[in-house]
Amino acid sequence: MKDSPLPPPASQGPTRRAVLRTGALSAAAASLTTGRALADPFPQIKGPYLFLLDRATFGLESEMLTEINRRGWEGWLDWQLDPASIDDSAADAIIQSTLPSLSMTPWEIVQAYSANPGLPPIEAELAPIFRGYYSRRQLFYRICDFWSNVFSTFVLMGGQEWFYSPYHQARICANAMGNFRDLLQVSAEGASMLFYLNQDASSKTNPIENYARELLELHTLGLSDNPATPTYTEADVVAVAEILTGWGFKKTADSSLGDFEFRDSDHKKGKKYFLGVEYPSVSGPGKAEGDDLLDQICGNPNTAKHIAKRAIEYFVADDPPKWYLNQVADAFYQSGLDIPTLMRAVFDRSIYTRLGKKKRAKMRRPLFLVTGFLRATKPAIVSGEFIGMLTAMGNLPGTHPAPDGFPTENEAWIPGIQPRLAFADAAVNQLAGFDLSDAMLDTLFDQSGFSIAQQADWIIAGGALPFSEVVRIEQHLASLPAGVDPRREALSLALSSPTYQFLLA
Amino acid sequence: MATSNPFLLSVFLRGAADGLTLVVPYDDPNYQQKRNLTRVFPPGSGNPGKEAIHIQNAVGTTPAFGMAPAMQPLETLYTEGKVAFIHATGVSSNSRSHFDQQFNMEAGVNTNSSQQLATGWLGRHLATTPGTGNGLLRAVSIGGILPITLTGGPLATPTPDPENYAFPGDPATAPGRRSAIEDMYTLKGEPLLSSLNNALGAIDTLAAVNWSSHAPPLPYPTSPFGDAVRKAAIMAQQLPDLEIVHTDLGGWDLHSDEGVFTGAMAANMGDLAGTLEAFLRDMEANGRPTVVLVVTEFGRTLDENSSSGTDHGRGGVSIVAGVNGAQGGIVNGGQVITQWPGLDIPNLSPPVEGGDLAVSIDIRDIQAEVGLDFLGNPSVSNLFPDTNYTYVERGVIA
Repeated sequence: MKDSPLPPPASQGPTRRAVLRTGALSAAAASLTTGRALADPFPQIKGPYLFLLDRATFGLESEMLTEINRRGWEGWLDWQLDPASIDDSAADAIIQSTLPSLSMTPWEIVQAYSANPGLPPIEAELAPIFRGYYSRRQLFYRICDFWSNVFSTFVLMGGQEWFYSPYHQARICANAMGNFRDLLQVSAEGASMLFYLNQDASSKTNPIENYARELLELHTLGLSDNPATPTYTEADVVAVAEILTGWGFKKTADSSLGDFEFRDSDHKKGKKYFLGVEYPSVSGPGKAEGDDLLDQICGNPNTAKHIAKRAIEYFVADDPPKWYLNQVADAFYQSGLDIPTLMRAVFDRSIYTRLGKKKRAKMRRPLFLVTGFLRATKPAIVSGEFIGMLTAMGNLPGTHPAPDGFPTENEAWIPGIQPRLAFADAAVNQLAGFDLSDAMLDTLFDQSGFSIAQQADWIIAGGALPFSEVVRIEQHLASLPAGVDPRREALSLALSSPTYQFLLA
Repeated sequence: MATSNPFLLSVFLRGAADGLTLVVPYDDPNYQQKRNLTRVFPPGSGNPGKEAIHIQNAVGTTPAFGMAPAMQPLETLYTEGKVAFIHATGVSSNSRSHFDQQFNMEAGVNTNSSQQLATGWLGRHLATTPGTGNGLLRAVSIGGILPITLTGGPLATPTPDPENYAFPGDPATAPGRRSAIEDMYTLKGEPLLSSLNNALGAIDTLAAVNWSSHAPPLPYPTSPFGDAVRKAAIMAQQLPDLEIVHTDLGGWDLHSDEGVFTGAMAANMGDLAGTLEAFLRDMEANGRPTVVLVVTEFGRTLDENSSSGTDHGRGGVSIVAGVNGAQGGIVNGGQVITQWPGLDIPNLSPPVEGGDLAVSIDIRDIQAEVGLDFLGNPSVSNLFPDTNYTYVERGVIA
């Protein structure tokens, strides 16, 4: 972390205050304490829009609320699925000055950080947090985070300080919105992955099976639900390991450091069979075998199905019902693995009602608790205490040691409540590294006709907290000792509320 | 006076530790032929620093076994009968996926199981027994995420830092916030309500722990694992109603440069053995009946690969160790418990080139015996409701 505080995002569009006023505020609404019916300050964003925003962004924020109200569900998706059309220069400037290694090659990182090799991993850990906080290309960076989790590597592994960010930025993120076949290729040829799963160390006598296995199990085909009909066998894993022998990266101390290289002398010659197909295949022997293999894997419907499942479980809901999974998998497969098509299917408008409230219940991962707070309140980032808090919550980006990425299912995140409460209270009380000044609180809490608890609900959860939780927060505020700012207490409790531990709506 | 309530330290070696290195069949000709740079030599063979530490094996029908040199901290405890190794153990289905087999081992299932379970075997132990006293905290996992092993257990909570596990924020407002949070979670209900109650129970229980008064007879290694287990001992010694601490030790997936003598595997083994030695002596001095159960998802290939590493295999090693104060043995240690399947045949289904170590003891037999005979669970079916599973007692608990 640099010493100088980072600014809140440049104001884009109307402020939260203005958004609030577009609602039914003009009606003289009653405060909770008078017990009269509440006016709803933003009726338009209840339900489906809140559902979409909380799953397709890093947290509620005024510009996105305005945009989804203006553009509607499909219009907002169209806009966000065309990130090049969204001016993101303000966020890019912050990233460039704060996390410069994100745009560097391995050799540039070596030159700039050789005296400070601990810094690139920290910048990598902060990347999703900063992008999530500052960027207007919200869905794009959510998709980057999804793929970085699918193609997970481990930033704390010695050597990854040079390779982790070039892989996740210039390879994964740069191809995050294109075609999956291309994404798979740049992952397979990326130094961070070749190093992490030992493909670079493999050679023709007794090849290493590590990458081969995870390529099939985690990145593409997935394991079968039914052991009687496996998607591939042990012999297929061995064949992939053999086909990919010779795939490695350059370790020369020059600008080619980390570039892909095929070493024919390490390549296992002769016939191999993967899922019944003989290799060398259509493009001939050598490196081309691996390219043909990735073609075959991507042409297998199990890949579309597995990626569809991972995408739904990352973005929307656990254990998707069959109709939903098939709908997404079919659309993705028929498009030839076009990623925007995948995302449109994942976020098809019909899912909100078809899934129903129970099926929609999805725990908010700790990363999105942190970015949700940042986007809702827009503090300056002044120091790095939140990094340790994300570690305590089990979700500091880049630090999941195994290649399966952070878990996405609810069961993994339900037990860890205490560090969430600790983060919530620290964040609003200037103890997490975020400067939320009294002046900023004045800006956030500007609705004199409404209770502080209700305003905290709007600020944090877009008004989605149930009446009972708002009332209970209000009760707490009524009995505070002198000198305690009720606004901070209210924000702490809104962030700690059971409803906010789930994605909204 | 230490409590007589049993305490279990559960350790998962994530990434599949090479059982053929932890406990080496050093005379086996197939082992000698297939292993090159990962080969541990027989004792007294003139390979200083690379020789196995011979361990007496009570079973007798098996080949000669030795520990890798880095496991030396466990030698005396083994000789005293306080450490047992279980060899050629694991999950009986033949997947070589880390994630498949970690889940299977923790949930207590395999691909032939009669039911799919979303809870862990120790979670089910907690759910089917009352616990002791009025304990508000029965199990702690030292880590950010509760492992499947403890999932479904009441009064089980994860934390990477039990020493600083408190209700957060300004003490002047904390009681009010806590009460508000309890009310909101009560209204919202499950699944978060149990999670909150587990957290609050842990907060109140851990608040009573004195973390600075601990004076163990041996120093713990200064590693994250050593530190986690040291904290487990402090909690075990001060919290009689705390039954289980679980922690992971990762870094065993050594496909390249396994480093049996000086590299990664040696460092991991030194960390594991040194920590367990410090812990067992610590608990022995304290007197609380204590068992350590160490498992890993599978072993590694007999055949060494092209970069002096090993790939995913089948049968692996589990460790059961225990101390009971001055009363001596609590496990049937000093032996390698195995139905040794040999390394000389393509003994796996489907067979794999070069042969591998098969799984001949279902790991559930070991888990179940710890659950029944040490933790006092009354029924195998509480722990492993899979009706296709038949418990076979292997004699690990005395």
